[in-house]
Amino acid sequence: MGNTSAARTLPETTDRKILELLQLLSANPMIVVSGTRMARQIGVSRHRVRHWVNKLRALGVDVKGHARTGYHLQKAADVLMPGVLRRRLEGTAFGKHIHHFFTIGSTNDVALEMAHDGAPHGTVVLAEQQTAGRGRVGRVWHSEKSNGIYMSVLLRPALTPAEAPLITLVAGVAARDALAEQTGAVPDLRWPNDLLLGGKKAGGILTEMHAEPDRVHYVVVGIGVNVNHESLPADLRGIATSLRIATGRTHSRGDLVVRMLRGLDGYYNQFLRQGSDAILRRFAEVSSFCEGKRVRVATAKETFLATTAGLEPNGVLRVTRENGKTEPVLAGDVREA
Amino acid sequence: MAKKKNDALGAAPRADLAEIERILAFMTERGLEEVEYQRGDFHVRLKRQSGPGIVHAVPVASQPAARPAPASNPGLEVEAVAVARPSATPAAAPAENLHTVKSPIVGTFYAAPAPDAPPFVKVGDSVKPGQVLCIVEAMKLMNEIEADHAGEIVGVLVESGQPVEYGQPLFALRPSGG
Repeated sequence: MGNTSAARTLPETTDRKILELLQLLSANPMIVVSGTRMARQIGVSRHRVRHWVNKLRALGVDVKGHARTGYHLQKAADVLMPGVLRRRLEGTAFGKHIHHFFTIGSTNDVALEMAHDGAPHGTVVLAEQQTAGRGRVGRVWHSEKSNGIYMSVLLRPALTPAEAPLITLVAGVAARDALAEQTGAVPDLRWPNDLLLGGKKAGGILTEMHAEPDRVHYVVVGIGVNVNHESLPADLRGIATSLRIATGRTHSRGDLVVRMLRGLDGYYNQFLRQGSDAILRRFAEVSSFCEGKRVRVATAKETFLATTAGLEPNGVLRVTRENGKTEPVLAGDVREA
Repeated sequence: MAKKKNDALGAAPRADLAEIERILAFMTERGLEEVEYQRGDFHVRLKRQSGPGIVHAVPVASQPAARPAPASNPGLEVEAVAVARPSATPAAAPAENLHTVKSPIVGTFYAAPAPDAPPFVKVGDSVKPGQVLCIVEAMKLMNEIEADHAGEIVGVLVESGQPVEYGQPLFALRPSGG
């Protein structure tokens, strides 16, 4: 697992200082703040301030001005600032330990590393950019700078490993509902938890678990959402989309992160208290893939055509093959045929 | 670890046959299709075709060429390889206590992090506690299975991409350090 150093050096990370700078600018919107004052408040040189302002600009933050005249923000930056998120997540499990990085290998790798080092339940890792975003079976997640949400959430559920896979549906319905509220559109949920807008993938969830045979140590839920991408790489255009492409307008990533985490908090607690019934029901309500969908199933072994036939109580998808045989799909890609 | 195929192996000695019988019984009991097993100088890979019919334990004499032995028996393919090892490890006791690493969930077994990547571990590797041995996936939940003992991998009991049951043995490990 890479990125040991990223997690270990966190308290001293430059990211924090840049965030302070951004918070200072955000606290004085439309007001010019002199470079000298910024340097004094953050406790660095003016030269350093100029360097960091340039870094913010590279991340898409619209900072006006220069060292001599001072700096100001033209409009509120859509950077996922822990201080702001913390306030908006009060009362949930996710407000207390939020770590934000400008550039990171993979939020899941860092969250797993933090979990290994004892980070508490509810820890959230956010990044503006991932250099090694991951998907299933070694696939790459396209992680464009500041246009997407790259977030990992650390959970320490009192569950057995056998019960844990349902968390992937919990995360799926929470993220799907957040997207629906945010866009006003009707996102689809492709089993187990791909987020689709207009039939194309706008978000994905990769969950990683560490467990003993009878006890889960921790689960890291990694959520990637394409939010404000104006366009996508050619090889993804046919299968992927962003909220902006699908709705024709930009969206606040901060709002969406808050909606997703609040939703996750609600569904997760409901799941732990009452079991899986409500989650399975909600999945059936919002996913066109649950029942009667013609799909192509690709497992590590084979690819075949089938029709979906509902979920088993443990969340596994049932499919009926062309020969009439119904069987569970434990893992694999399920695509509309 | 330098492995050499020993052409002089000829027919497998009786003791080895008994061992193969034992492994086959284990495979049948667990419904395994392929097992790679190593103990001391004895190294064997057994492949069983699932489906009806009785599985015969007939080891095929090793071939001079490097290619695997032809499956003369439709039910079973046995590749018997004698391994020349430096005398670092004394011959293991006959009633050796191997440790098995079991799957904590029902899912799909992956020996490697990606289809084109090398496996996390292979037979003969020494592993440390906490080292990742494989991934078992259920519903896009990736469960990295770690070694709970230090030791040497002597058997990879499941083929990559195969479904595994709860509690199914995934690896046989010879604990090190007594």
